Amino acid sequence: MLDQRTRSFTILARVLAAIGATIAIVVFAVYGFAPSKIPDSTLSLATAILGAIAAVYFLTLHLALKNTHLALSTLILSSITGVNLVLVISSTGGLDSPFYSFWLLAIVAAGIFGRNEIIVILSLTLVYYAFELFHQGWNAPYVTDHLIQLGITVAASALGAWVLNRSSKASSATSKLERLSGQLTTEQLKAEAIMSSIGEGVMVIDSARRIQLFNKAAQNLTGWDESSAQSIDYNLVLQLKTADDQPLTDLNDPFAEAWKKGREIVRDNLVMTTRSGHKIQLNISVSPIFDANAHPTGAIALFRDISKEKEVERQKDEFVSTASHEMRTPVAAIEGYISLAMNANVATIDDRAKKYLDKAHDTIQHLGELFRDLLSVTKAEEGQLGGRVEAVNQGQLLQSAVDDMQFTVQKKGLTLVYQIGGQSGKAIAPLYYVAANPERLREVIMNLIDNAVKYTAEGGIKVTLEGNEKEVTVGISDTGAGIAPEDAGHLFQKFYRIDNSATRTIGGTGLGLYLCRRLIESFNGRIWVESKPGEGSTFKFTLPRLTQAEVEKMQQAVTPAPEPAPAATPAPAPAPAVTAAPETMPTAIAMPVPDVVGEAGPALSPAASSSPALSPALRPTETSGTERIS
Amino acid sequence: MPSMAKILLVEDDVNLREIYSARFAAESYEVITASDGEEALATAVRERPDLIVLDVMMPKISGFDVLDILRSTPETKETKVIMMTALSQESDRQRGESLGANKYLIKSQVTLEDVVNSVKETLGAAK
Repeated sequence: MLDQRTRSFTILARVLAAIGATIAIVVFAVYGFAPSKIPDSTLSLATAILGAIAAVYFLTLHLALKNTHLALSTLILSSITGVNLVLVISSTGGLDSPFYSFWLLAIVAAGIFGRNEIIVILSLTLVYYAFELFHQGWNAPYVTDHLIQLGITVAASALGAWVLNRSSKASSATSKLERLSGQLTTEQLKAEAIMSSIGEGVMVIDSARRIQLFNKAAQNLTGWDESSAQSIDYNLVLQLKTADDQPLTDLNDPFAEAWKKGREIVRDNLVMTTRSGHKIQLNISVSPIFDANAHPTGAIALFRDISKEKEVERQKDEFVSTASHEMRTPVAAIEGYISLAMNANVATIDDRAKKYLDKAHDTIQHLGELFRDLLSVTKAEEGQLGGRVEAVNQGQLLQSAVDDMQFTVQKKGLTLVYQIGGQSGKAIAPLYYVAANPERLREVIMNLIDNAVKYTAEGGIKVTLEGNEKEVTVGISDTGAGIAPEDAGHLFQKFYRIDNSATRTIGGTGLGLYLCRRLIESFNGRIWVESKPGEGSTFKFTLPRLTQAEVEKMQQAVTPAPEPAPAATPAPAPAPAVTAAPETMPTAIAMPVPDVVGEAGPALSPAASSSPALSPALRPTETSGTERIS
Repeated sequence: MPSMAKILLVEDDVNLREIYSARFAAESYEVITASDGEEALATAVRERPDLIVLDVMMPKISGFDVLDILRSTPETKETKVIMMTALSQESDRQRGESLGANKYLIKSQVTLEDVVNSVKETLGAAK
């Protein structure tokens, strides 16, 4: 595309060459046919020769130069013509010459070249004026006569300047356009290169759900080539189903969700059927595109095949699960044998052996605890941790948990108080019901209280219950060392243990709080910690509060098949619904309650409540044993 | 305190069998053992125990099947049964109870003493 300036130069050069050629042809023709008609033969000849030079120059040098030095070449051509014109003007009467009007044209045309050229030609003209006026002896009538002509000359140069201004503006606009279009092309090429080199499938759809862009990886993953996928409904190409082969609904369709929520949605549990019928596990992230009025205008989807990762994950979980299962049997056997050895009704050992066996028993118990937590984590990953959900009276559950922990807490010389509502004076507890599995929820509470006991050297533990119409919040505060802010965020991660002297001496698997989080989240709640180093920590969790109607509905659903109290606790009466009588709930279900665990263990315990021969110092199980029966 | 009651312990793991036997014996129970479901059924009919402590996860016949057969056999229809399992799934517990188990204990959740207490209580309730 030619810009304005180039075009002007080209036209100007052609015009000048044509003028030169015309003059030369006319003059030479007149010379040939009627030499007598030539008024001033020397001048005419000179004009014709210069015209011819201009024409020849145009046909030779200019043609060679115009691609690289168009402006310069045109300037040379203009100079030749200019000299010719000056020659004509000066020999036909100077300022009074009729050819002076051509000079005015030349001044305007100079605008094409630039400001400097106008200034040069105007200056030369003015000098010529001065010279002519001087030549005429500055007589007044002559000066007056030519003032208008001078004005026209200056006006001509102003016109030239305007020409210049306009053409440069146009040319800068044109070149900007050119640059932009060049950039656009470059960007397009770049984008295409990026798209095709991205390993993830990229798909862009418009508001009518038609595919607008479909990169190489997307083509490879789906088996659809770009031309067939282009402009058709994305659902035909990206055939998504849930992991259990159900079609997507508005509730679990990532596109629908992305448009509804207006943010990126990531799913890693969908299965895509390729064009050839293969099924692959997909990780897909969908980002909605909105126009200025926040109307959805399309979406960008990034997806990749995670079949292999899923398989590896499954194998890992299976391995952990199998390994923990298999190893638990020998661990249980070791623990059982140690228990037998320490039971005075079964074996006879001396005090020293008893002491060592006691330590061995504690150690093996920790090992058992670790295996149990690992299994729970595997279950959590498989999403089958929560168990059956029912309406649970949070206050009652807390009370029974606190009662059960009193012994452990007092043994360590700490205090444990339970407080309902903001003020301690509030005696009547509102009924806070939450939807949860009572056993699992109790595990969480016991785990948190137990942690508080473990990490508190002196002072006390306070269990609080608060709530409003929507939520029920349980807090477990201690007066321990507190948790540094940088650790607080990681506490609920798998295998995270704060590395300090306290944690090194206190046993744990690094899974307890992770499991608490998974459980609380599975009941649609959340758990967090508030702590100031040196002042203690408060672990809190919140669960949605059930309305009275919901509670009744859930209790009715439970009643036809009463949930017996878990077998660990011999129920005093035919097992009633747990919600109705939480005090019948087990105290020895799988919970990391070390002091109970430490003595009674999650698997097998060495001591019998009925073995009076045992030294109470070594085996203070009696209490926990009786607690369990009560 | 119940004494001299006869307990049939069905457990495929030899170590756990020995441990439970010894512990039950320490409570003055008469303990007989079986290491798989078939043996358990034969022994149960022959010995007529007061209580069967039955492991669920066993080769050949599972504890659930053993319980099912016990309940449909006239000689053992009324025999008390405590099921012991590593399966902690709710559905398994329900299955055990619907088949007529008197108690359903999850191994990882109970101590040896809990088992002893459960035995005492189950036998106590029978008398």
